[in-house]
Amino acid sequence: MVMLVLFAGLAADGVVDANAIAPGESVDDVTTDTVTEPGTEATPEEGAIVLEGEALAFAASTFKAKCALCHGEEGEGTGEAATNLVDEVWQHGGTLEEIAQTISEGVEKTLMRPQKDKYTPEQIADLVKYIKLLAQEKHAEDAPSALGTATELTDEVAGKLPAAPNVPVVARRNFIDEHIFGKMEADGIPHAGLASDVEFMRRVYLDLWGRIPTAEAIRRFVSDGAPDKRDLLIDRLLGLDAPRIRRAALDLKEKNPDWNPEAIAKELLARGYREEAEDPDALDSLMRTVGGIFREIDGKEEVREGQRYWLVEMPFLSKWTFFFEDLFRNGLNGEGSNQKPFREYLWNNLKFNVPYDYMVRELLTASATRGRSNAATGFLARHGTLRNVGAVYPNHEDICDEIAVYATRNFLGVNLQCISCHDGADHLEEVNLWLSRRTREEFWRQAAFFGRTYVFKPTVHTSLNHEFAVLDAASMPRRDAAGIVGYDFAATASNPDDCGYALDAETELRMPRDPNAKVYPEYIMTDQRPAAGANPRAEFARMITSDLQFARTTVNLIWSKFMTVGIVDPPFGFDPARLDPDNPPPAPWTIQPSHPRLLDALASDFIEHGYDLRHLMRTICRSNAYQLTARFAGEYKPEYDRYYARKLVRRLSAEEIYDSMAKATNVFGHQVKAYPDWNGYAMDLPSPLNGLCDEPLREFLFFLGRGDRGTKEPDTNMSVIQSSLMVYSDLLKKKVRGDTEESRVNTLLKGHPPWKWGEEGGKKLREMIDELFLWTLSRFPTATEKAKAEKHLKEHRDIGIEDLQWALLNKSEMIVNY
Amino acid sequence: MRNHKLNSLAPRLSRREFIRVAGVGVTGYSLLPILDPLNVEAKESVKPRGGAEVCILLMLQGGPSQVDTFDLKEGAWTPEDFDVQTVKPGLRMPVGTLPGLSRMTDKYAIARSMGAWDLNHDRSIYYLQAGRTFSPNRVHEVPSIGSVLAYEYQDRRGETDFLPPFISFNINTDILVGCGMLPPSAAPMNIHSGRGAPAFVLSEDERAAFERRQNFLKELENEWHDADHERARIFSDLEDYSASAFMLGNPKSGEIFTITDEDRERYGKSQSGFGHLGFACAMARNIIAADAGTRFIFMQHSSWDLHNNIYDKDYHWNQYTMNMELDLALSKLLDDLETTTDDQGRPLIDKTLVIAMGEFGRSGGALDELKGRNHHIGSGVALFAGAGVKGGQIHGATNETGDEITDFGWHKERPMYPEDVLATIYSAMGVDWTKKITQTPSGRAFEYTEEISPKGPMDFGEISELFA
Repeated sequence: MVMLVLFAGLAADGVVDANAIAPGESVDDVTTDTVTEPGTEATPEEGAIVLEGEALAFAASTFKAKCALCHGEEGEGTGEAATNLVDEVWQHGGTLEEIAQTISEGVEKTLMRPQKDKYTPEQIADLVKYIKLLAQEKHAEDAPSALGTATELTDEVAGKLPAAPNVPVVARRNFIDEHIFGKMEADGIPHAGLASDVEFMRRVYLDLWGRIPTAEAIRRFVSDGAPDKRDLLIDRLLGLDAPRIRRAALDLKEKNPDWNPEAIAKELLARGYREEAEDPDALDSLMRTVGGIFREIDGKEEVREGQRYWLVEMPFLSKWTFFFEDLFRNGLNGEGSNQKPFREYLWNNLKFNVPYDYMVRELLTASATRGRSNAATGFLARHGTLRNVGAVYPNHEDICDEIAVYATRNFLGVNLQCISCHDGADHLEEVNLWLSRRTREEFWRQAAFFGRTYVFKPTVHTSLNHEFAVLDAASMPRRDAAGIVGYDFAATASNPDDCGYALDAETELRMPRDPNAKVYPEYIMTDQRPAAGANPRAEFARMITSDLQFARTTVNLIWSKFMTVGIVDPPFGFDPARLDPDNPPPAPWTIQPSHPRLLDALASDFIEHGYDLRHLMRTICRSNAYQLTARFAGEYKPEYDRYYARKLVRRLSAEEIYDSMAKATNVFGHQVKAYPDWNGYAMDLPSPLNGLCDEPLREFLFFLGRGDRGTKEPDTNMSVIQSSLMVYSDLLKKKVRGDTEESRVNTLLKGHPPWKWGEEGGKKLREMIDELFLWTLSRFPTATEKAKAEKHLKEHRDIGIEDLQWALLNKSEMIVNY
Repeated sequence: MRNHKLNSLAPRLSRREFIRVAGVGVTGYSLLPILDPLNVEAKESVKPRGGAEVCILLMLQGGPSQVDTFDLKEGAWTPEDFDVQTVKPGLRMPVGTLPGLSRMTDKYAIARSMGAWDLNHDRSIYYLQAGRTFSPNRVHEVPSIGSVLAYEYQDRRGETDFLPPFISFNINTDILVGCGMLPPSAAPMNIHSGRGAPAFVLSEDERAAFERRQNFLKELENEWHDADHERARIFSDLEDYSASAFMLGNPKSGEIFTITDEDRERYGKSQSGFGHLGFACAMARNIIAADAGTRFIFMQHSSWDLHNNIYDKDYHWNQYTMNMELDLALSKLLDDLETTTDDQGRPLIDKTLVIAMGEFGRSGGALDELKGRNHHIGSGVALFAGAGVKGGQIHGATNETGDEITDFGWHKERPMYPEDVLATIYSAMGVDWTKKITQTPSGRAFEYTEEISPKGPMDFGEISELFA
């Protein structure tokens, strides 16, 4: 078989997958270890240097784009001896180091310019390897099955990459890195290297979009040589690069006034601009964008909301709308109860990047009456009881309590549930220092901010009326035997001490209250009371959103979604008595956050940037702390987790798993009657609870841990039923079948006509394997995986491809973000 | 990961951090070492009764009317075709709607002093599974009794045990309580008996394909393992759980989860509600006969929430349909468990505790204005059979409308609550019901049997009178 392997004579141990090239890893680390797989065509010999996966893709594309001008696409040169790289004549030295030196420093008085400013040493090392392989390939041409193009090398070169060195040099990119790596350095904790491009890409897609990237997007990203491509991808997923396209389009128009939108769009496309990171009709959408910009310039048409170019980041909006719907339990009390308007409300707030503090103030102060609904009441209208059953109307004080519990939990990170039934003393001493000093009476005061706010259904026939009323009144709604029939608008309370929260009220949910206690609104964090004459809940909203703890809670919650573990964890388990590193709690308590100063720095940055959620996410994603790999060489200790010494793996949510499987296989295929326009992504289901009559899908999502936005929060636990669903489910079976119209397998089989088994010569087969791996697992196969897959496909043919698709979907990496 | 020692943990408060973190977000896995028996303490030395090796809890979802079933109250409201008869001294039964169970009253005990805590279905159904108040603080960590039993029996699991320890039938997935903080191996597997054989029952054609795929997957997974030790460790945890899914593909699954024509004939099928009780009972019998590791079977029969026109046979579902469905399925199940024997010739019923009950009772006396009955927590009934339960006994009594308990019928002289039922199950299954897991994610101990009721501390415990 063809020799495509170089011998470097280096010794190392550990075998790593083929996608593991990370910035910062050096060619000197290339390992010599081998995998011996009988029956495979491309077994690397001992001592081989190999280049594959994304590093190969980078080197190949760079070589073609830059070097080939003078050296020819295959290194054969242009006729001048100096330009021939495959004739085994090296004018400036032929060792790896010498060639690297030549590329870095250039050759004086020739067109060979120094390249060291354009590429990193690692990238140059990859180019050197590529050139060496071109030479090998040249000499192999006489062999019976010579290889054609450089991309073919991916198929043929077996190999491994070095294990990530402990404490590799990782640049500090922003204040997050200063804190994370600074602490590890100070404590002498080793950490992992940077994630490879494919690892990073899959991770950031799942974290920001809730679904995996396309194969095409991965190939494009990997071969993109731009040094800031990760930042650009983050911006693109966040919808923050639309201005970039816009700028470029306007720039072109200025320079070429006679160009029409199509010409500009084509030029933009050629320069690598995309409306969506993975838009198959990139030109079309760019043309629409450019057309829109033109109209805007001409002043003939306003830029309308909802046009495509506003929605670059649609999956981002889907995922994070879903996140906030779960957080605010949107769907509890039934779909009709303001559920859809509230979903739209959250969507629009994210879409227009409304400052989070503004949104929260609106949620806490929104009012609605019958006939004048208000989507923003969606937060307050969820806190009746667990569920309104029949004619049972929840007690007013219970509602106040629930609002206080959830508002304090979501916005201040503190769980008041325990002290809603009893004092913290004698209960919480070992759980939460701050709460152990709080009393039930203080909890009532927190709830009393909502004492004059009534949340109810305007009629007792709840099934007939989907509206909620939320309004402030000085006294209870008027009731008759049938329930609430109206409400009184006394302008002010006759007695200023009457906060509308009755301590002798009966309670369904809690221990009886104490009628002798004293209750008036008082903010539990600071004992502040509302200003005289002010609406208490408006005051509450003001106190909460101006509290540093609000910013801390928010950044920590978002952080925990990207970093798997919060700086305070669980994110709603804050202990306010243990946050200040300059004022530590008494022993044996310790400071609660793993990185208290980072927490405050994130909070301050969030405040300084106007409570901008996208800015926060971008800051986290751009840090190298976020971009570490999960791979770790050497002994890893559990206590490193709290240092974030490597990527902490998380199981995907139910929706992320389903959506990634659907996207990987291109089989969405579930019609839900209630939502005829549904696009097939679970994250885009208008409601997870209602209308989802398609039982297999409903069951699939529930068993994978979907929440019900009431009694069951989403979880990522594991169970046998989950794996049995993954293994046996008809949902899955359909996705892997070759005769399912437009399925990935179907497309691959159709895409290679005439597909004749036995005559494929291996190349297309290997392309197909690559393609399935990229679409499903968002990475290239390792050499051994590829060899095993090839063997299986050759043996089982069409069925074998289905097997491969099935196996890839069932590989455990499919359901985690690593 | 599973070998972590607790000594890496500093003060107790950091434990919940540890649990989440050590599991790298995969909650549950890291709990295995933490739930070392050392941390499972028993309050006092109670002596579990033992005798049962498996338990079937049949939840009559919606709240069955005690006065139309096993605590029959006759009045002007009683329909004639209930055909109420004295089946034995002191026991009147609606033979017209419960023909099978009326003829076998010596096989089960009736408890007529059941109490409940909450008029809300979901919260009371939660009680039945978790034995405590629903609390958002603890909902993630509190396991179902089925999961606790699975956990308690994990050491006794044989290598050939291919069925999950905890199987549920026809449960609405959103009300099913899972394994909480316990390992995923203790989580329930829910089966819809009305939808034909579950997907893991493979035809012979499928089996070849399945095994081929499974082997292929194994090859690919191993490759990933070889590639990276640290990542391999994370993924091997994930694979443990899919391994048990693969076991379900066992050829015997076909016999267990396929309804034969004979069973179809004998057990019939339910028309109402969510599932097919008869099929679930037939499968439960097969599961127990197979003796393949299942310890707890939780079934739902829906819906007993009869608010309207309950005596109107033309109304889409009513007291007749519910009674008849229950009667057919449960009487056949009890029959079959008695006539089927294990490999030692012992009738299955001897090692199977069967309980049928709702989450609460219904208002008694005459029907209300909707010609139905409302939710009621002041009284209710439950049936107990097998595993040493003395049949033919009636415990407790109610007033003439069936609304109020007049005689509790057991030593604690108060209603029998769900907590007591769970303690009884634990005891029969040989588990000390006073045990508690002291190290939990929330920091609050998990008592197998709760010590606090919504009305304050309460001494919950086994209903020993059942076994007299």
